[in-house]
Amino acid sequence: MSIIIRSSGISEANNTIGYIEHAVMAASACLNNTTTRLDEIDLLVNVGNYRDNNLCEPSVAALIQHELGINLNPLKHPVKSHTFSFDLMNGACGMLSALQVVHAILHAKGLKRALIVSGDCHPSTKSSADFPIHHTGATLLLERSNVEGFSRFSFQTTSSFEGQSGYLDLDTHKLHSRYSVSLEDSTDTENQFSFAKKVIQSHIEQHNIEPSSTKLLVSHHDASLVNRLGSTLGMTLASGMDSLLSIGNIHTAGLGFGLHKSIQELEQSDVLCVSIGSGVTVGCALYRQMVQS
Amino acid sequence: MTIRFESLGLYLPERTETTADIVSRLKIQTPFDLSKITGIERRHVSEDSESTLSLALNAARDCLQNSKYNAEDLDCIISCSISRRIDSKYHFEPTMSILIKNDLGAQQAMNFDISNACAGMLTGVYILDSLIRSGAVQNGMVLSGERNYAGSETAEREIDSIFHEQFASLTVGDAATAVILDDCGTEDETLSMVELMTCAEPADLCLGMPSLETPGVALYTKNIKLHAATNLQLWPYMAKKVFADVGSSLEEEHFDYLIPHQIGTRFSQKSAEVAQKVLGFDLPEMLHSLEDCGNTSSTSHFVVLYQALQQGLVHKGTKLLLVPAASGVVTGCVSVTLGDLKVSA
Repeated sequence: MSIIIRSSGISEANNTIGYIEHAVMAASACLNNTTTRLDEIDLLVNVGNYRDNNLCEPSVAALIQHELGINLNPLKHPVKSHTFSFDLMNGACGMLSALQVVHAILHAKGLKRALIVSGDCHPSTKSSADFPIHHTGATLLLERSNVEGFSRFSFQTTSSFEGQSGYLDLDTHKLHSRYSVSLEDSTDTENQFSFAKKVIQSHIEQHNIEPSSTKLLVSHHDASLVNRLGSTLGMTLASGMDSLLSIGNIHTAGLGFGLHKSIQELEQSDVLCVSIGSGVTVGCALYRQMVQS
Repeated sequence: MTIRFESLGLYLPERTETTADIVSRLKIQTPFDLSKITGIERRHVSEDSESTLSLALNAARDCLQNSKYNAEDLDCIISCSISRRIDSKYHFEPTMSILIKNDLGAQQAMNFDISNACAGMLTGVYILDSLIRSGAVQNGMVLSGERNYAGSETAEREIDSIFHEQFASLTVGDAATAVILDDCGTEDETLSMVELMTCAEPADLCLGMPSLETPGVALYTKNIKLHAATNLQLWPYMAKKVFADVGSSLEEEHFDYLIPHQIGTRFSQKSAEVAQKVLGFDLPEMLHSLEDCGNTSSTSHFVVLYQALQQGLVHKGTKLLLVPAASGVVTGCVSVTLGDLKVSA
């Protein structure tokens, strides 16, 4: 029981446009690579955290669905699948959480396809000196599979919170609240490394993963953390890691971007996907695609 | 495998505000009676010291008190609040669910937040139901704390015309609810259907975001377009299809009650009339908590359910249809037959 990546797409970093526009471009690029029609998408999940205008309603997923023209009104425009969409938020680990949720929903409900969109922007949709995340978008199109793809998900969190906090302070920003956000980071990098190492090692042991023949894809922008994990665990980094580390902090889009850039490699070797986010939260999942003979 | 509602939790802040008092503070005279249109006499309002998080934790603790599970037994925690507010801060990170998990001591639980407007709790139920059915977890808690009244205060300050887009904000109230699902259901105690759909054409007709006019979060709703009969036809169309897909019909399911999203009594009545025309029969009797609680957004169905259990209106064996109506727009059918659920007095 698994889910496979059928297609992927990205919208290159550009801090002059907002998240919804990036997500729509990444989703369009993803869908243009396939024969999948818009009315064949059963689920649309947005995992983007920081959004245009600090919108809190409706789900950003519904607005992206609207822009893409998916299941607008089945009474006027009959469709094959009645798409359901929602936002899932788990900071930098949102994509991995969404993959686990999509895996569960597609199998439990016998559905076929899901689109997961990710990325962030400053609420003004413009560049801001105090906002370290690059505006971008990364999308994955997933299909239910019984033999290959993502499986074996695990998440662990530390018992007291540390990491990135992002909030809008209505008292501070007052009439500028629609276009303001504050980010703080209480990460202890040594704790973060130790906890991530422990969680990944436990995942490797529990699922009998062979580190020497499995590539490591870590969704995090800190090159020293990523390289240290690779060398400590005795794992080679996935081919997309160079691009991911060179682009800098793209927060929720990291895993989707890294997978998009590693897409050829996914056909040749197993990839252990790891997300590290606020909490500290560490999530792991193995991607295994059967080698074509 | 049969999934069930194992336990429920509710928290309502003590303080209340009446619709009459709110309307009397508006800058304009309204030519209509808001209480009469909506059925809302009053709503619960949080104290300044209360946050989305503290409301949710109160509901979570009540839910655990009514449950066979302890916090450390939970496999999953899904927080579904729209408001996500602690003090004057609206949080995007960390998730509400990790703060709830750490406070409850549910260290083994996987956690994430869901945001799906007023369909939040039912979206959480949809996801948790699938996580349990797929074998990823055996149980979990879906919860939401909503500190909505701040949006009503913004509307109170800014409404200057009877056509103002913030009128709907005057109906909201604060509340928190929680539900634990597990895989120990039976034929007589079951969550038998959770089907949800997003029809995105009207997605931009109801937008929540910080106001540019006065400091605070505002909800801008194009009510006439959003509640047009063409949009109200989406639910009966979907209900017809999802029950037909399982070889049944809404009529054959013999629901004892229908719990709609708590927008207002006139909206419920109009929806029922549209549905009757499409489906060809009268809907089951509807349950509301509008009079004392108003529209509690993502928590609304569970506020009604909890209060109906307290009042003895529903009990073991009662079969309910929960119907969301959320911006997006989200509609759907959630069918549940209740077991022996404990609730606080």
